[in-house]
Formats: sequence, structure tokens, C-alpha cells
Amino acid sequence: MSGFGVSFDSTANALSAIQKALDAVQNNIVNASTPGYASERVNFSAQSFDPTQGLTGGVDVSLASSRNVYLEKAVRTETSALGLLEQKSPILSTLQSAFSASGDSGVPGALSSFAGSFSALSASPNDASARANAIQAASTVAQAFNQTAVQISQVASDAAQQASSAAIQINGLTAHIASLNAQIQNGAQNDAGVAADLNNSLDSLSELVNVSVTNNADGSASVLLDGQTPLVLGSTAYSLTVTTPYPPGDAGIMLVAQGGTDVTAQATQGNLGALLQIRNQTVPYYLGSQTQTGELNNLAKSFASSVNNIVTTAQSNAGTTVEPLFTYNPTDDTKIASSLTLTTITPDQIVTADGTSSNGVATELANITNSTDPADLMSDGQTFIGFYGQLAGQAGSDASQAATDLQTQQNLTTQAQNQRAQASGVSLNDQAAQLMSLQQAYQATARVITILSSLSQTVVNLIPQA
Amino acid sequence: MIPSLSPSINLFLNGLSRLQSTITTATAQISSGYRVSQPSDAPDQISPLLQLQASLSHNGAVTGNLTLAQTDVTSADQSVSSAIQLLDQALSIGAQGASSTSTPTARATLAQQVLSIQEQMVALANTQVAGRYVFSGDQDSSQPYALQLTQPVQVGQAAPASLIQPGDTAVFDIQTTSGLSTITLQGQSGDTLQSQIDGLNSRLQNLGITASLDGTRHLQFASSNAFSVSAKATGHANLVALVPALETANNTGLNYFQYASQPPQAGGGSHVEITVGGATAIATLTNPGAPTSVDINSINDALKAQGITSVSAVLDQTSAPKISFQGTGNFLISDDSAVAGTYALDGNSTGAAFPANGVNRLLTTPVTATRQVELADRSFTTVDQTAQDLFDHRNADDSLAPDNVFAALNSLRVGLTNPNGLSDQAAQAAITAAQTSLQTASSYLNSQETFYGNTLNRIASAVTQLNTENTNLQQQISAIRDTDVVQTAVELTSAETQSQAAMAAEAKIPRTSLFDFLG
Repeated sequence: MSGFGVSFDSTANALSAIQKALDAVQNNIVNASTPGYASERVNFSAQSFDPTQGLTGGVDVSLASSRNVYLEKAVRTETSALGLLEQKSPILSTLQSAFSASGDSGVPGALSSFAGSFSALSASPNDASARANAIQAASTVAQAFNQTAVQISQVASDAAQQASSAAIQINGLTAHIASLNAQIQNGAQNDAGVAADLNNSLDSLSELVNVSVTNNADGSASVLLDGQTPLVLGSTAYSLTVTTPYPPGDAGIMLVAQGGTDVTAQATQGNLGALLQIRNQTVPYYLGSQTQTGELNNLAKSFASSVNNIVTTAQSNAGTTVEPLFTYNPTDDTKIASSLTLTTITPDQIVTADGTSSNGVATELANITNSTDPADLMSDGQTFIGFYGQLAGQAGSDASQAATDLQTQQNLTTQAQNQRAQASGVSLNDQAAQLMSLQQAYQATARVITILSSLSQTVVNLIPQA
Repeated sequence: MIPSLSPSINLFLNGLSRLQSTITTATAQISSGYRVSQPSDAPDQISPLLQLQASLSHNGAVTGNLTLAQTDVTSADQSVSSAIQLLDQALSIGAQGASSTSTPTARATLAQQVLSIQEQMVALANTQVAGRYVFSGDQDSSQPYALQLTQPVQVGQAAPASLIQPGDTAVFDIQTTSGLSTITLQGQSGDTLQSQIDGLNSRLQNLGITASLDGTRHLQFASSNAFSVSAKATGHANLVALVPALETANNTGLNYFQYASQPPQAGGGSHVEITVGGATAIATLTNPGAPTSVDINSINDALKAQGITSVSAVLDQTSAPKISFQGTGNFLISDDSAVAGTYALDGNSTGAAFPANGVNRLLTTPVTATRQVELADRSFTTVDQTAQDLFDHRNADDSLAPDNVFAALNSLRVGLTNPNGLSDQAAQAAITAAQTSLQTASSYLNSQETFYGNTLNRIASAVTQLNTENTNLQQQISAIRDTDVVQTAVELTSAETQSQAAMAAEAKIPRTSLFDFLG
């Protein structure tokens, strides 16, 4: 009878193992839609079986996560790149709207109107209304530059504000990851739910900024900004702060790690990377910074200087009051476009005549947008309109490139996510198949017990009744 | 999470989103007609697009200016043609006047016809287009000429800051064939010389008289008709003298001027100055309120002392005692400028010489026409000529050129008027001489008219070329900016088809799993 007893025990263990496997399948199915969840596989292993040696066999069961750290890393890398472009693309689209693609509006429209007004003045140099129109057109040019500068400044200011918000979100996530690490270190290293939460948080973090994750032996995760600056080590989180280190008006925001280190250069991906790029590189290209004047300011200054030079030279030659047409902030080159304004010049102070003709000056100003005179060109030899077109083209190119890259990156990220899902996701078909298989195994094992019970009864019945 | 049912669902959604974006873009391009509506639509084309649009705008402005110039030149051309026709009419009148059968009465009638032609000629010289005087050159907001058959009547001291100081009053009595008109001007704070002259002119307009400053900044009056002016001022008015020179039918060859002095106020002076040429005689009046022979002698002695023999003073006893001056040529009478009293000046003169060309130049000399108009090839051309060039041609020393149109007409009128009472034969000879001048002037105008013909041709050619350029520019702009409707419609249809196909295919994918088949 001892043989039957061992068989009973062994078979009962097998039923228990199958039950665990069924539990795993059930857990996989209910977590099929849980963010960060990786399916768990049940591994059956046969126990030693050698009846001659008294080894009765049986089955052992263990659980293993299907999570693939390399695919997780790939997803986070692609997510960071996607976060960068998702943040960058709409901002660049807004930025490009500050530039006109039409010659009828914005700065090019104002420049054309300016030229047209002085052309009309050249036809009627003594016409008071033509003079007033020319002054008004000059005012419109100044306003167009002001408006463009304001729109771009708004982009910069929004980016700085969003960067601060992104840093706050990052700090919230790293604090949560640190708390999960603490749970893991306290015994939850095999908890699939904690693991799911941890990996979901890491995915969210990678969307905000580029991080590298190291999986520690104890199951916790160490998180570094760009592989350099610690954000989470064990149960400790290290915060990031966005500051404005430069005097107001100068472009630039700084990302500072806990301890005061400038880590701006390390945030190259994710939402925060995009915002830092926009604020510290894209906008200064147009409006300047500590190290550059800004191309829009260069354009405004060159145009205003050319016009003023023509106007004041004529006034000086005519012996009349010298009054330029434009004025701007003389002490801050990064404020030229935003401060460009009309002087108090009156229509009768415009001298239209040069030494040759009564309308020579007006004609020169009428041709200023098409002039090939080096004095009326930008330093690179372009006309004012052409140079503006280059700026608008740059803004458009950036926006277009970002939009295209975003589409591509969306696919790349989706592919990475799919690869991860293929490897560690919950396939209902697989789970159903496993379920059927386990059901059959369970039924067979139960049948074995029934048979063993019957055999045992038969054996018992062999015993003569007293 | 795990996309257990369809791992490719996100890829499907990405693709669908891309197709939707294509549909949205294509729809926007078709509805707006523009392929490029923002810089990102064609970043590398924005700069050339804006430059092309600026060129198109510039061409539009140049075309507009040429059209304006075309109007100016056409009007000027028509005016010159009309002027030539007027000269032909004058030649015809001159032929009648030069006829041996013409009588003084007939010539006087013909002179009136020539006067009408002179008026028309001055009107042509004053041709306006949109408020601009086409023959005023660079001063096109000012009238270039006024008919001036008499010498200017000058009033006042030279270079006053204003005619009438604030609080002072000047009264001008204007006698014309229509009667006596009185104009009163009150000096106001802030008045300028020009504002007071403008105010005076606005009042004189109905009388056909214009006031202006001459080259020595004396106030002068001018009209095409005979008139007289007397000026009376109170306070510190600068109006202290009047030298009239009026043409009248009763030509005695004398200037006659009455000076009715009133008693000066306390503290005022009481002397009178007579200026002829560069010499000034000053005489003190012992009885300024009621002048006597003592005062007359005092004045004449002063005149003699200065060597002035063309003017003398006499006592006029016709009503209240007054001092009268008579003499030849122009002379200037001035009161003591320090007199703070009331005085009256009356002008009544005859026998002044006619202006040789019968017109008054109203513009500041030299009158230039340097306005240049841009042509299609970016070169420039001058489109204006001045009335001085065309109708009042002068020699280098500013003397009248033989082909001076105004002078030729005026000489004909003077010849027909015969103001010096010449014999018929001599008068006819003068008319014949005027005929020669008219022919010379006509030839000159004909030669000048070719300028306008050539200019009009240049403008027409430039406008044609600009129109061609504009068409090319618009084509280039269209190629960059405008929607290729056919191609975009195909793209739209294709994207819609793909979108529908994708959704249909996605819908066909089984949504069941093995669980659905478990018992």
C-alpha cells in the first residue's frame, strides 16, 4: 500500500502544480491590458523518478517573467526620441507661424508696402498725402518687426514655462520609482504588479527625458540622466530644477541637478530635451542670446540703418533738420526687432531729392527691397526680403523636418513596442491554449487519482473480511 | 499593455493618421488654391517666392508711376499742341493787324483777341493733373505763371517778418473796373509772412488779383486787368509805401502818387523818405497833419540834394491839404517806420512800362524738372519740362529768348494796342515784327513737342515690357505657390481610397480568440 500512497502524493503534487500554472494563466489574462505588465510563464520540471531507488517522480513548477531588458531599453530609447519630437513639432509649427510665407503680410508685406509708398512718393514728391503714407508705411514696418519678435518671444517664454513643468513631472516620477525600489528591496522583487508599475513609470520618464536604466541584482532600478547624472539610486530620488541663470532678456534656461550641477547639455531627448533646445538654441537663432545678436535683429538693424542712412544723408545735403526714420534700442542688440519704432519725423522732413533729381531719394527707398547696392544688402549679399525668406525658410524647414521625423518616430516607437509585446505581452490565444493544455493535464491527473483510488479499493477488497 | 488581439493596431493607427493628414492637406490646398501657405510647406522656396512677390509688387509700383507719368505727359503734350494752335491763331490775327487796311479801332479789337489768347496760353502753362502743375517741374504744387500785363505794384518795406504785426490793421482799397473793394487784414499772433499773403490772396481771388513778394521781398500786386491799390495801416504796420504802375487808356507817361499824411501820435516821427534806385531823400515835415508849401519845399530840396530829378512833390489842395508826388519811373515813398499813428496811402498811377512778356513768374528760380521715372529696365528717364522751358524761354542772362512764346504774344498785343501812339505804318511794322517772333516761337514749341512724343513712346514700351515681366513673375510665383489641382485631387482620391481600404481591411481582421471557441 505504500506504493499507492506515494503515487497519491505525487499525483496530488502534480494537481497543485497545475493549479499554480492555471493561476499564472489567469493572472496573465486579467493583466492583459495593464500598462507595464509582462506575462509570466510557468515552467514545469520533472522530479527524479526511479522506483528502484525509491524516487517516486512528480513535477515541480516555477514562474518566470517574460520581460526582456533589451527590448525594454529599446522601447525607452524610442520613447525618448518620440517625446522630443512630440514636444518639438507643435512648438516649431507655432514658431513658423510668426513668419509670413506671403508677400502680402507680416514683415515682407510691410517691406513691400514701404517700397510701394516711397515709389508713390517718387511720382509725386510734393504730395503731402504721399509723404504721410510713406511715414505710415515705415511705421507699419516697425510694427511688423515688433510683432514677429513678440510672437517668437512668446514661444520662448512658453517653452521655459513648460520646461519647468516637465522638470516637476520628472521629479514626481523619479520619486515614485524610488518608492517602488524600496518595495522591491523590501521583498517585492517577484511581484509582477510592482514590476509593471516600475516599468510603466520608466516608460513615462523616458518620454519626458532621456534616461538610462540599470536593473540591479535586488530587482530595483537605477536611473541616470543620459547615463551620467543620477535621478534614482535605490530608494533615493534626485530632483531636477529649471532655472533662468541669465539676466532677463537674454535667451537661455538651465537644467540643474540636485547639488547645483548644470546638466542642461545632458537632456537631449524627451519633452524636456525639446523644450531646452527650443529655448536655448532655436529661439536665440532669431532673437539672440548672450553670444549672438539673432538674425531677426540683424535684419531689422540692417534695414533700419540703410533707410536711416539714405534719409539723413539727403537731409544733411539739403541742409535741413537731420531726423532719421527709425530708432531702436541702442544698447541691446537682442532687442532691435522688438524695439524698432518710428522717430518723431514729420512728413515735411522727408527730403526726396538727391543731387540729381527731385525724387532720387524716394526712388532709392522705393527700390530698397530689390536693390543690388551693397549698402542696401545684408552682410551675406542677400536682399532684405531674401534674407527674411531665408529666416522663414529655416523656421519652415525646422517645422517640416520635425513633423516628418515625428511620423517616422511614431512608427519606430510602435515597432519597438510591438517587439516588446511579442516577447513579453499576453497573447490570449497562447493563454487559451495553455489553459486547455492545463485543463487536460488536470483532468488526466485527476483521472490518475481516481484510478489509483479504484486500485486501492480493489486491493482493499482483496483483504478477507473478518 | 499587450496588444494581444492585434499587435499591429498602433501601426495601423499611425498609417491611418498619416493618410488623414494627407487628406487634410490636400483638401486645404484645393480649397485655398495655394500649395504654399506657410513656410513649412516649401521651406526652400520661401525666399525665392518672397523675392518674386517683392519684384512683382515693385513692378506694379513702377507701372503705376509710369501710368501717372503717362497721364502727365499726355496732358502736357496736349497743352503744347493747343499752344501751337493758339500761336497759329495769333499769327492769323497778326496778319490781319499788319494789313495796310487795318484801322486803329480794328487793331484794338484784335488786341483783345490776342489778350484772350494770352490768357489761354497762361492757362495752358498752368495745366494741372490731379492737382499738380505739369509745367511747374519740381515745384509742381505751385502755379508757374500768371498773366501780368502791368508791372508789379509794390507795397511795404523790404523783408518784413510779417506784413502786419499782431494787433495792427491794414486796409487795402482795391479799385477795379467792377468798383471799389475793401480788404481788411488784422495781424494775429503766430502769423507768418506767407500766411498773411495767403490770407490776402484768398480775399483777392474774386478780383483776379494776386499778391506776392518780389525778389527784394516787397509786397506786390498783379493782375491781367487794370486796377489800383491803396493801402492804409494802423499801428506798427509795415505798409508804408505804394508804388503803383498801372496801365490805363490815358497814358501820360507819368507816375502820380498822393500821400495824405495824418498827424503823428506823441513820440512819433514826422519825416518822409523817397527812394529812387539806390538814393534816398529824407525830409522832415513841419506840418504833417496839414502840409504846407514849407513841407513841399523841404521835400524837393531833399530830393535835389540826393540828385533825384525824376520825382517831385507838389501841394494838392483839392480837398484836405495833401502832398502829391509825380515823376517818371518807379519810386518808393516811405513814412518814418517809428511813426505809431494812422496814415493813408493812395495810389493812382499811369504810364508804367509793360512787362515784356506779359506774365509774372510765380515760381522760385531756377525752375527745374528733375523728377525721374523708373523704366522697365531699371533705368530712369525725365518726363517733365517746365513752362519756363516751353513758354518763357530765356537766355543765359535771363533775358527773353527770341523764341519766347509769352513775349511773342505780348509783343503782338502791344503792337496792336499801339500804346505809344505810333503811326499806322510804324504800328503795322511792329505787328509784322511780332509776327516773326510768333513764327520763331511756334517752331520752338513744335521742336519741344517731340520730347513728349518720344517720352510717351518710352513709357508705352516700358509698360508693355513690365506687363510681360509681370506675367512671367506671376507664372513663376504660381509655379511655386499655387496648387496643382489635378495632381492634388489625385492625391486626395488616392489617400481617401487607401484610408477606406485600410479601415475595411482592419474591420475584416477577426476579433475572436481561442477563448471564443472553448466549450
